[in-house]
Amino acid sequence: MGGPWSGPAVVVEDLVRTFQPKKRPEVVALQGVSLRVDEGEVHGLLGPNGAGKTTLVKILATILLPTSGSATVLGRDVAAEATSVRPLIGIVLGGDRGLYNRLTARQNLRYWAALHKLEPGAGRRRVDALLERMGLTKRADDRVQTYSRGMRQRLHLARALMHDPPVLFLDEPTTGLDPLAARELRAIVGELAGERRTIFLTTHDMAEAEALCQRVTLIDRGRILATETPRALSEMLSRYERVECDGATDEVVADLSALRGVSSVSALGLSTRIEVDSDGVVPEVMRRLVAAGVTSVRVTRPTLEEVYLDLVGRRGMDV
Amino acid sequence: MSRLGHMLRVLGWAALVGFRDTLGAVYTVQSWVLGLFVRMVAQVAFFASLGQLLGRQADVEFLLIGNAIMVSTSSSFTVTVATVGERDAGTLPLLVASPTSPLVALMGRGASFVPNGLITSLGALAIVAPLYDVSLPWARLPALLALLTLVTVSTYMTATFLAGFVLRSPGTRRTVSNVARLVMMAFCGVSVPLSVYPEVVRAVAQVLPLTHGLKAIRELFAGAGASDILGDAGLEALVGGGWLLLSLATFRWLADAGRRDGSIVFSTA
Amino acid sequence: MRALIGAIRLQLQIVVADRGYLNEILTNPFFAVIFLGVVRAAGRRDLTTFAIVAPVLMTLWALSLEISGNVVSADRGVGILELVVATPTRFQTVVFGRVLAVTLLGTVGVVETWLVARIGFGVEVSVHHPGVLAGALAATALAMTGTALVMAGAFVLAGGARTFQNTMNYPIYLLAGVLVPISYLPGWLRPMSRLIFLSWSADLLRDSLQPEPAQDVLRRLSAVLLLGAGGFLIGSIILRLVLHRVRHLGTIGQE
Repeated sequence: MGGPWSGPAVVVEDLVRTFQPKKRPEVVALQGVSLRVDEGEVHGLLGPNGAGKTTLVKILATILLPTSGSATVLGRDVAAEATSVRPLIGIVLGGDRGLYNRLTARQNLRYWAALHKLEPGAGRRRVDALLERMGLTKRADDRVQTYSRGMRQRLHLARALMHDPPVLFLDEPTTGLDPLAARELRAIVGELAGERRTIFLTTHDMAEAEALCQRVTLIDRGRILATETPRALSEMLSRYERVECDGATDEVVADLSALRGVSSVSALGLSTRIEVDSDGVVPEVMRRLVAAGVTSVRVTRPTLEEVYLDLVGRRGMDV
Repeated sequence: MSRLGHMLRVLGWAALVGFRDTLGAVYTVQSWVLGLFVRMVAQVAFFASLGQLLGRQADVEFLLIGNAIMVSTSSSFTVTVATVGERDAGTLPLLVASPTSPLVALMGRGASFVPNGLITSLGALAIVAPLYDVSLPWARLPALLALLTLVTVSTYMTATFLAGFVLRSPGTRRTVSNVARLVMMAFCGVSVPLSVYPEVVRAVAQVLPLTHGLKAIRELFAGAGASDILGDAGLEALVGGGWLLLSLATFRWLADAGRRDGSIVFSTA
Repeated sequence: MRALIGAIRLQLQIVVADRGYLNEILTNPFFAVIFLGVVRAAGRRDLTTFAIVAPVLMTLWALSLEISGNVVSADRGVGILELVVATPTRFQTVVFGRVLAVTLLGTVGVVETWLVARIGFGVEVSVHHPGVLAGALAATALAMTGTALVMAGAFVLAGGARTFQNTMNYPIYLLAGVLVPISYLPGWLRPMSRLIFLSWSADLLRDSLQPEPAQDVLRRLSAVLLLGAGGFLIGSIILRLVLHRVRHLGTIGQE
């Protein structure tokens, strides 16, 4: 398995993955993706459905082979050295699948303990510990088909942690969960991150990425748009701060629209939003608003979601 | 009269839907031949070869005819399994809520298995009989066809009766239809002459479908007179009618129980 | 080895939870009744061993057909296959263990048949060569597992092959002389029969119940084991191919 690794946990270079459905044109799921995840980092992969998130996770998890390009996990190539990657990774794939519904949680986990080659005694103890940690001990001997989605997802997490892997791949772990269950799961992921595990997490939930991740990679249609900290991402558009106000008269709207540096003035229900596209315009906008007697004025910065929509939307609509 | 007319219309439409389903989704010509017909032919040949082991041509003939006819009645039990498909498709609650007895619609839906059974049976007979030097009374083919239809339909009535119970516990559908087939294979005179069994088994066999009809078919093959054949055929029809009455009596009751406990709505998954 | 035991345990748990394979196990006594009844009606008590061996082998074969058709596709259907692939355990080990579990379960057919003969027909089955019986049963179980591995691979590799899953009972029973010895088959079919390990198993099992000394036992046992080992080898290769193909095509999670 080689010695301790002291580089990035995940390195992806020029990764391409195409699929050839029967009698239909080829689908390019990933078109030259490069990315790097540091050890101990919680890295988010953010994108809409069909962006290529799951394909990337499955390649990193040694389930799919890349069409071209390379990817390594702790220095081992996921295609050529799959067998030495597998003991290092734990995976949770989204959705309801992946469990034997008619078996109990404990029976499911014991099976995975065996597949990860744990000694029977060690396997039993590990299963008990994981059930306890995931808060499933009381229901451990009930059939999985009686579980809520949140419980199933925690069971998936327990399975992924069976062999105490240093790297975790979580594919949309909170999709379909009710808000409370999602929050519980995020808390557990936060704990896992605290154990210096590397976590690579896909999501299309901006708030989740902001809450959990040190860095976020935006992906759309198999291409990476940006990799930044959640803060830096929102700062990318911070120079596009905008002003919102209530009760603007037609005159002041016309006045602001003519102002150099103001990109748009739009009605937002009862309020008005003034967007700017260069530095230093905001104070001038505020001054004019106040002078016109408008006192309910707010300066806002875009949320990560808006950055994301902006980046995706800009390339999206005109294809 | 209008009520009967209505029932027949429902039956007809349901049969049409069922045929479309069977032809399109369940079987293609290729999968029918490879997945069903070949197996049935081999099954008949397997039992005929047992006759060879016993060493008498009469045994070969007995086993070959019994098992070739059995093939057709086997097909009838598909309705027992198919009922659950109806439930899974979500159409069952709609049928129960409709003014027609759901039984009529279900019977229509599975009706395509009757001709399927006839074709398989006759095909197996035509292929296997020459291989084992059994001559068929082709001149009596219309009579054979009539008797074969009779046993297939009377078995279909029994299968519908079982479908009602399977509806209550869908997990048992394959087991129920499988055991029903096996009971008939073992105790209706298909391979084993009834004389081998104790009195009580023989008595039960009298009220099972196939027993009398198969006897009539054997008489037909042996060149017996019309009165013997018609007598046994009449008994078979009586048994089939009895099962139909039982189905009608229990089905509404089972459907109502399903409405009470909700089992009628949920799928097996 | 740990993974193998884990796979066997899992399969037994699935059997219990699903009441799976109940059909194959329920079928056995009926066939025992039919064969014993036919033999009795014909007054051929000398053929009793034929009537007893056949249901045992038929149960085993039906079970391994069933498991080989499901073991891969069921996991694939519920998205477990892709998770198994990402573990350090080889997929073939999992399949082998699960099939073996079901095959071992199939030996329950021996008990069923014995009970039917004893209670239903008052037939006392006497084992004249217990060593041959034990050896033949063990070799048969192993060969059955190896063969099931080939079928499992074939069913995944060629999805259409599952059409044959239900077809492969009676033709094989006939061809392998499970009930009626292959000497009754047309001569040109017999070499084919000898390629099916069941034909050797059936002869051995029948011989173990006959008073006459059994001939050539080691050679025939080797034939069973060799054919089973061949199945295991080919099956492993096919499964490896299958896995590589689905990882490459990206159809791994699909049914």
